[in-house]
Amino acid sequence: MRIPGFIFLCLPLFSQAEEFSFDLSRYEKPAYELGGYIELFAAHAELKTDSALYNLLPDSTEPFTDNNIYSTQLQLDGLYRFNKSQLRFLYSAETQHTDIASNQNDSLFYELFYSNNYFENLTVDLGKRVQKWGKGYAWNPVGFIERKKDPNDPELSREGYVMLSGDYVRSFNQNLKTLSIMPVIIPVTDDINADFSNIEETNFAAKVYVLYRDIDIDFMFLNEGSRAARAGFDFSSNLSSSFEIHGEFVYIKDENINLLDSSNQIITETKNVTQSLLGFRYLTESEITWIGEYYHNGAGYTEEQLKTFFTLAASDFETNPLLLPLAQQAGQSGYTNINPGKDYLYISAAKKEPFDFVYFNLALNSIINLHDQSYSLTPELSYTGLNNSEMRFRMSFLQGKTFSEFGEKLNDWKFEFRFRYYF
Amino acid sequence: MRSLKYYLLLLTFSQTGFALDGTALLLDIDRRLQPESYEMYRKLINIEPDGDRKEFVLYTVKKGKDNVVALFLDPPSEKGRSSLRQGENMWLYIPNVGKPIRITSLQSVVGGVFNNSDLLRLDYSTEYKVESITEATSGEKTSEYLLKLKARNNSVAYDQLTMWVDKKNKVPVKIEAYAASGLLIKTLHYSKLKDFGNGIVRPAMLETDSPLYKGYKSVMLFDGIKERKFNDEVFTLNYMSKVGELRQ
Repeated sequence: MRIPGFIFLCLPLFSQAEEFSFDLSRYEKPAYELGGYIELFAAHAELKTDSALYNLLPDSTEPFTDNNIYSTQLQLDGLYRFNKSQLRFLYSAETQHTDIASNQNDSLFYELFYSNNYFENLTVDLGKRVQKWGKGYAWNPVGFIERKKDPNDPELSREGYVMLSGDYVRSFNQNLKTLSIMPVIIPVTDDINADFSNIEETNFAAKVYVLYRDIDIDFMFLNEGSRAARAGFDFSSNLSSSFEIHGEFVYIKDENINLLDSSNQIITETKNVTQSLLGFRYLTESEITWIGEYYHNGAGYTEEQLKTFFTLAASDFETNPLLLPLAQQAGQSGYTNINPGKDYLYISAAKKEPFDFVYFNLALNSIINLHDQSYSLTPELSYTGLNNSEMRFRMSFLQGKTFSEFGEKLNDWKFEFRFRYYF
Repeated sequence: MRSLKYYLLLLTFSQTGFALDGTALLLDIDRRLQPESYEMYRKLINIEPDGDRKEFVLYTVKKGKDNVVALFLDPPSEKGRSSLRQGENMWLYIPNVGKPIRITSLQSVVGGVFNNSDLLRLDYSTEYKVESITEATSGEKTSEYLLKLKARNNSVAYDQLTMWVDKKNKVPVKIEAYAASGLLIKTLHYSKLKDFGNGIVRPAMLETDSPLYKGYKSVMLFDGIKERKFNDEVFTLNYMSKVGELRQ
């Protein structure tokens, strides 16, 4: 009797097979799921003591030249399944110490909502949840109903808004492969979504998604209500197996823009603006992932307008104490927002497993204000080799001339370490 | 239910002296490895040179020729991540990111030897055409077929495959994957033949090594493979955050 070669080949493997096991029963769908992580964070920043934003620190602050930040965070996510429905939540509790400010303790549900899948092609969600729209990595001008992301750390969890949403999806065997429609209702009152806007209204938004041939396209709008009316679209497609392009475009009708006038008072200008983003993701043969994005914000400040603000913020408040509240008010009105300018470039290069070190990831990110040529440079190294954990080391350098965006930031440079243990 | 065509294929290969039909054999291999539409659980074990291990568990569903989605069930740091493939389009959903992003097929998802294409593999006959088929000879042993496969287009992860096939069970024993330059990228060893029920008898273990990752090895264990029908809508971006609900 002949013994198949297959068996011969298997013999040395069977001897090793004993050390591998797979208990499938552990992965049956449970009624409850609970997971999350514990994060330890520490950072040291050298402050730019001659910068405009340093000058805006409260009077009581000691003349620090550096700032240490320590924080601990617990993030829990879970769900409970019942009758083709789920109750889902994302909860965060954080305690933070910084040298230059008082200690902070925050505890809140980022998400807490009921999700119903009674009909196979329709999902209805009710409660507080995050709706992330758009294809951009660093910025999302089409993110009409979400809190702004931090382009320095785009993957950070963000708090959602209370809303009612539906998501109906159909697939087709033609050029139009997928069609989905998502209507959303967002109420704003004194008690609900008060930080969406200070105008109490019931707001309607919608997103229509199509996969046409091999192109993802979304169309979205938000009606006039708590925020100015806006409409836009985004797209994403692979030009080759290693090159992807994406973009977003938004038209906003009657957007309010807060500006400093010649007497350092805030005035509100209303005008129609556009916002757009064009980007790519490219994987080289040496397995470096490049991401590049150009972002135009029609509601952003010009170099001259930012210079006006920084000039005010850099005033000598000891001799002109009345200017301090004006500068602080201007900052809160938009001038100290993340990336308040008009045109930006984001460039990122990331190499997985550099020098064949498995589970390491090396990256270099940069955000450039194209008007004043100031920029941030952020190298980072992360490691995921320890089971259920992730470590990330980061440096941030901010460069720019006087009265430029990154030249007038509080920090000169910063080093940070983040450790997460997942469970 | 197997089609008449499938039985004819089996009959073809049971006739000695009949000319070898590599394309038919490759179709037969695909159907023996898994039904065209199925669900499956896999454990992926990355083994480092010092013996340290990292384990991942994936739940995978597939429909038709080119719709497949894989969800990470373990470890906790990866749980909830899902990857979707529709033909040459691939997307990755990360719970923290909260929306699907387009990815490329050659990116490594979890570190180590496996990349997206390995985790979202389509049928071999969908991605490759047979260039030649011969009977493998090693001394007196002629218990294997040797297939030379060529990628149907340049979006397929590996340009060429050399596949050793067990004659009796019509399943791969060993596969060498080459780049267009002729560089050997990785070698796959199938083993541990197992009856998964409903006529599915196939290897339950796949070991992979690569000259590009000297000393590293990856092992994939298969279980819970069964034929199952899904709605087309399961293979859309909208469903990527809900794939886990398909489990029974």
